[in-house]
This record gives sequence, C-alpha cells and structure tokens, in this order.
Amino acid sequence: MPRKHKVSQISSEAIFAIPSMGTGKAFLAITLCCILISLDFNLNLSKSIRGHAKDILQPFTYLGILPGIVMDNYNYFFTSRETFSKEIIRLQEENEKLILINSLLDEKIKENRSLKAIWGLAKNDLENYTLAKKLYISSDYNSPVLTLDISNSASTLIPNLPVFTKSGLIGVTRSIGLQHAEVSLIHDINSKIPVISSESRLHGVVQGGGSKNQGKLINIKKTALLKEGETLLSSDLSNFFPSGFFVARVVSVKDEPDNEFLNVKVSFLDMPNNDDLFLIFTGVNEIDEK
Amino acid sequence: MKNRHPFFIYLSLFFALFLDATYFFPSFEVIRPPLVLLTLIYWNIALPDKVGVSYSIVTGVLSDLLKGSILGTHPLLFVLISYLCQRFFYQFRVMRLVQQSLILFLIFFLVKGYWSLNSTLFGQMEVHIITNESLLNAFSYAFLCSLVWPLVFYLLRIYRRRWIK
Repeated sequence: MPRKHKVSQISSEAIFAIPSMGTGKAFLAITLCCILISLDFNLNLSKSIRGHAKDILQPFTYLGILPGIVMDNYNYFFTSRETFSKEIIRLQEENEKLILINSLLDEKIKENRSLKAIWGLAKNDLENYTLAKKLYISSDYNSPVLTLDISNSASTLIPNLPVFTKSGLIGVTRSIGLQHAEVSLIHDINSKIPVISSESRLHGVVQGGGSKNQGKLINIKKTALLKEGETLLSSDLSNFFPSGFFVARVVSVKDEPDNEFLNVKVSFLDMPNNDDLFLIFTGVNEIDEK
Repeated sequence: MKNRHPFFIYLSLFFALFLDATYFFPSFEVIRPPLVLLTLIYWNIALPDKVGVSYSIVTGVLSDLLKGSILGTHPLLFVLISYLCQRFFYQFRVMRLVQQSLILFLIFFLVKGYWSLNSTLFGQMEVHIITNESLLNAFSYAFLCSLVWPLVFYLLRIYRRRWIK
C-alpha cells in the first residue's frame, strides 16, 4: 500500500503533508495542451469530432437549465388543489383572451391587405378619395343598398358620389347621415352610369338589372361597332364620375328587328359581399369646376 | 466511500460546466463568472491529493467542445490555475474568505487577459487587449468572480461534507 503521508525520519510519526500536483506533471500537461492547441489551430483536428461531441454532450446541457426549471416549478410543489384550480381558470381566461386577440389580428391583417389594394386604386389622387367601411348590404333584389360607416369623413360627403371597390365602380352614395352613408349599387335597376367602351370608344349609359340579373347598355345605335367582351369604363361626361374605372363588361350584343337600338347585355362587378373597405370619390366639385 | 470521490467531484464539475454552457444575454456573457473554473479551484484547494491534472484536462477539453474554442485553450488555463492552486494551497486555505476573494480577483483579471490574448492570436478579429472597455470588462469580470467565490466555496463545502468527506 503506498504511503499517503510523509513520515518524520526522527520520530516515525506521520507528517500530514498532502501531496499536491507535481511540477513535472504540470509541465507535461501544459506541453500536451500546447501541442493540442497547435494541432487544432493549424490542422483543424477537432473539426471532425466537434459535431459528434455536441451530439453526446447536448443532452447534458439540460442540466444547466435544470435550476431554472426547478425554480419555476418550485411553487407548484407546495400549492393546494384549490390554488391550482384558480390558476387553471385564470389560464383558461387568458387563453380565451389570446384566441380573441388572434382572431382580431387576423381580421386586421385581412383589412390591411384590402386597404392596401384599394388604396392602390387612388394612389395618384389621394386627396380626392375618402375611405369607408362596409356595415352591411341590404337583400333587396332590385335595389340592393350598401351601408357604409363614414364616421371619420361624414362632413365632406354629399349624395351622388361614386363609390369604388379595389376592382372598380360599385355604386353611388344615395343618402348621407352623420355616421352612415347609403350607397345605391350599380346593380340597382334605377341606376344609370355613363360609360365609354374601351375599344370602340363608344359613349353610352349602363343601367342595372337587379342583383341577380345582368345590366344593359341602353340607347346604342344599330350602326355601333360594339364587341362582346369589351370593357365599359366610367366616363367623366356626366361630371360625377372620374374617368377610366371599370364599370361593366359587354356580355352579348343582339340586333333585334323590332328594336330601334341594339340589345346589349352587360355584367357588373360581383356584389361586394367579400369587400370590407370602399373608396368614395369626393372630387366631384373639382370636375364641375373644370 | 473512498471510491466515490472522483464521481462526486466530476459530477460537480460537469454540473458547473453545463451551467456555464447555458446562454444568457450578451452583455452578461462578457463578465459572466466561469463556474467550472471556480469549482476546479475549490477542489484543488480542498482536496489537492484527490484532484489531479486529469480533472483539469478533461474539464478543459469538454469546455472547449461545448464552447467551440480551440481545443487545448481551456485545458491549458485550467492546468495552470490548478497547478498554482495546488502549489500554494497551504497558504490559500488558511486565508480569510475576503483575502481569498482578493487573490482570485487578481487571478481572474489575468484570466480575462488570457482570453483576450487568445482571441488576438487565434481569432478572426483583432482584439485590443488594453483598451478602456476591455480593462473595464476584465475588472467587472474579476470583481464578479471574487464576489461569487464565497458562495461557490460554501456550497461546495456543504456538498463535500455531505457526499465526499
């Protein structure tokens, strides 16, 4: 058995000297470390083992976060069932709030996308447009009416202003309240919108046909060269509409013998069931002045 | 009981090592006290006959692998400090805790210098060792280490008395 303690040469008693690290050993270790550094620095020796070492050591790194977990859960070990129940109820309420916030955020994202699209429509003439939010659409078959929230801009609005979705003209303001505006859609059988055809440059008036039927382009002479599929754009002849916005598309052109004019059926934009934001054109006065 | 020494010493070192590997926010990382080195210092002072050079090398290599530093840099530092601790453990052990902290302050100030030198020699970026910022960092680092030392000392003493001897 190796001697653990130095022993006095005189009395043979143990001298409690504790053997420490020898200088030779330390020197050897330092040399080894220097060689290791040199090899790793110059030859990148550890490159091949580092990944595998991480594979082995990574699970143990959870030891490092263990105190944090213990601290976090320390209170739970000593809480009563009643406190737990209260905590669960609180968390459930918080969860419900979060679900609500998430759904609101989703809604806001949709609104923002739609706002971006619709605002792009008026990007060159922003001061002549006002934004309004849809409240609901009435279910009247012949005269569908859109109700808008105009609480931010009621004072600047008057009746007979054109209303746009991101795709084109959708109606005209019929009545303005303090916070709400009623919009007569172009599908309304009483609506009449002056248009110009995109290719044949023919002027005419489009009349609605109700929410389920197609509209018609009225009073078009039989000599007109109107084609099916042609786009009808808003015309500024009436001084009410800014020119160049999509209003309708020609679906069919029929020359009937007993009719003085051509029978032209047109299709409007779909009813704005999926649109939430609308632009109201407020530059009518300017057009008048021009 | 005798055979359990290495296991419990290694266990404490590994625990400190993995605590060291946990990432905190960047500004704290600069001055964060190296628990594994403090633990190693403690074992070198408390049980110099049980803790040899192998503990320093194994812990150092593991530190290098965990932290991604060049292989050998941690073991070199650990061996140097272990040697110093063992060489002067008689003097160190009888000092008051405040005095020990002061000595450790100086050691860790130099340790910070060692790491800065390391970065200069092996790092991609040029690191100036003597700038106001690096000196302040070294000072804060050493100060924090000397503050943590009494805590480490007492905790490991309780651990040693309970599990080792």
